[in-house]
Amino acid sequence: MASTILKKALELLVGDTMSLDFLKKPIKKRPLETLTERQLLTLESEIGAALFGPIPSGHRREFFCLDATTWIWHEEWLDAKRKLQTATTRYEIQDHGVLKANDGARYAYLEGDELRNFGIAIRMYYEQVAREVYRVQ
Amino acid sequence: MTEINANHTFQIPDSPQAEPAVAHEATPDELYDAAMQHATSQYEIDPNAIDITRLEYPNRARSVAVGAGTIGAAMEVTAISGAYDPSNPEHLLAVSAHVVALRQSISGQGE
Repeated sequence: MASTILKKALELLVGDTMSLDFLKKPIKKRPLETLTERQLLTLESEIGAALFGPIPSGHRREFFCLDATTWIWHEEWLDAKRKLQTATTRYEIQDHGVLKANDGARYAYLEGDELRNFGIAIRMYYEQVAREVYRVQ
Repeated sequence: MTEINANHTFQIPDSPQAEPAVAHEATPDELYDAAMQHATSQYEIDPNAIDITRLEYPNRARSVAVGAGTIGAAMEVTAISGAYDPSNPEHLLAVSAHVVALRQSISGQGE
């Protein structure tokens, strides 16, 4: 709409149907634009995993925001018998609390310090991901 | 540090500095500052960087709304532009929505 008005105004001024291509802004390519949502999530998780201090040797940790209501903690490590052990905890943020599900089996609402620590952790996650992954200034 | 087992719990223990604030019925802002002060000293995170982003929270929400086209989520963040309460599910939902909006603004899947 605005470009149409501008074009008509230019036609009235110069009496020509000149091209307005020179008015178009160059499109800036953002460095992360080619990454899929899953790849971005992996980058976020690298930051999320480091929020809680050093990761023990031989462990692999993931902590990330899956969607607008779900956060995932996943840990893998080899036990003394060199057998792979895993632990996955899902946090579902609901209107009245945060439901924690360990390996999809046990459910409990976060309370007290654990709820507060979770809240601080996701806030730190957001702030660091915004700065380091998405370059929000 | 974080306990690692199937019953893992978030362990960012209260610092000695945080306790007086609670005893004097500190404001949510003061509580947040005390907790963040401990978290930053515990995990060697630049506190200045955290403060900067925190102060700009409402403005950032608006910029994300433009970028991601998820105005509803960002408005929710803007609505709680005051003190962040880490125990308030409404605030946690807003932060989560904001993370997703940032991601979708890049991946293009939010459009």
